Amino acid sequence: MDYFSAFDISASGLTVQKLRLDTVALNLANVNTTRVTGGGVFRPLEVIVGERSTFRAQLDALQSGLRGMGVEVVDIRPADVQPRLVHDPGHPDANADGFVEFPGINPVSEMVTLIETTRAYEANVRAISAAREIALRALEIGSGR
Amino acid sequence: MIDLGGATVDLVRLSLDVALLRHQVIANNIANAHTPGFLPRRVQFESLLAGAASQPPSGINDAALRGKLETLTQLVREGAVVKTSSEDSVELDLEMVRLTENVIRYRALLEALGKRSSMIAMAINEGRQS
Amino acid sequence: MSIDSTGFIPPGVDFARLAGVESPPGAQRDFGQWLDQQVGDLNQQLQSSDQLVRQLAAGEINNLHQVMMELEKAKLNFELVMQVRNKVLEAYREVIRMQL
Repeated sequence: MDYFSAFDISASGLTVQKLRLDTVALNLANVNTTRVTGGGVFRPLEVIVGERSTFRAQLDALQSGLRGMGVEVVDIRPADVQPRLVHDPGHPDANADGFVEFPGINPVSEMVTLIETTRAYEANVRAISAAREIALRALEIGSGR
Repeated sequence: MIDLGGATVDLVRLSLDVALLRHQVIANNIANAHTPGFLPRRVQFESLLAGAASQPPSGINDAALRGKLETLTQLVREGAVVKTSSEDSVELDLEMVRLTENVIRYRALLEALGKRSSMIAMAINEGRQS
Repeated sequence: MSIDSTGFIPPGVDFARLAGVESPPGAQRDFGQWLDQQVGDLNQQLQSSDQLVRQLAAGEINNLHQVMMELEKAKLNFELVMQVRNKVLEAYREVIRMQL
């Protein structure tokens, strides 16, 4: 049994949720970005997460029986969404037909992800303070008189 | 050496180990709240203890309890008590409830252990608080 | 004048058997031996809890409650042996002070 692996697990959760939050912020900030370095319209990013199962976790598993410990980011990749076409012939990025490609970001679903992520982040913080309380209580063994 | 603890202390120690393991499992469920295809896990331990802890006071048999505890410790070490839940997604609020419950159980165990050992200390020190 | 307080008891009476405290032959143990063994065991226990503290300091062991429980056990056992030692010393002093 290891008191500190609980912190590891929750910290990995915090890292992942923070990254998702950053991605949402990036997507929302670029809702009107029609050109990026390298050319083309901004493509919204999505974060793929998976249960962490590192070598260290495998070692821990021998002692604690947890096969996957925590969570990790598997990939950050452009989401597979079609750009939004807006008719605006005066726009410098308009194509021959007068249409401008805007990123296919749905602000509502980004906001939902934002709320969900915040909640998950808070839950991880609560798990850390619970782990902290457990560890501090264990230190009080024998001093209760 | 004189055995001051008895099998009760061993049982408490194992329960503390399990509480710690349960905390890790719940923390892992929370961390993986948005992992696609992740199935939440649960620790099933208390049902394995059934009968072992509830002996009549007159016939407390430390040896029998110790024997059972040895098997259980092995199970906990191997992680055989961690089971995949039948629920198909992580419910954050339910996990928070389980987390709180586990912390309270842990505190109760430590509190009881502390009271017990201060009673033993009192017996040793002829009724004085050491 | 001499008083023979046991003269009325017929010879051959086994008091231990009558009182029911007779122990099987060969099982008699010296209190000194017992205390010696307890102190030896206590020393061993203190050393093993010392080992645990070292492992904790070195970061090799992270099971806090195990370390704390071992320390508490060693502490209680230490107190117990100390009390036995105090009692023995007290008894010894009482014998020394005895007026002959």
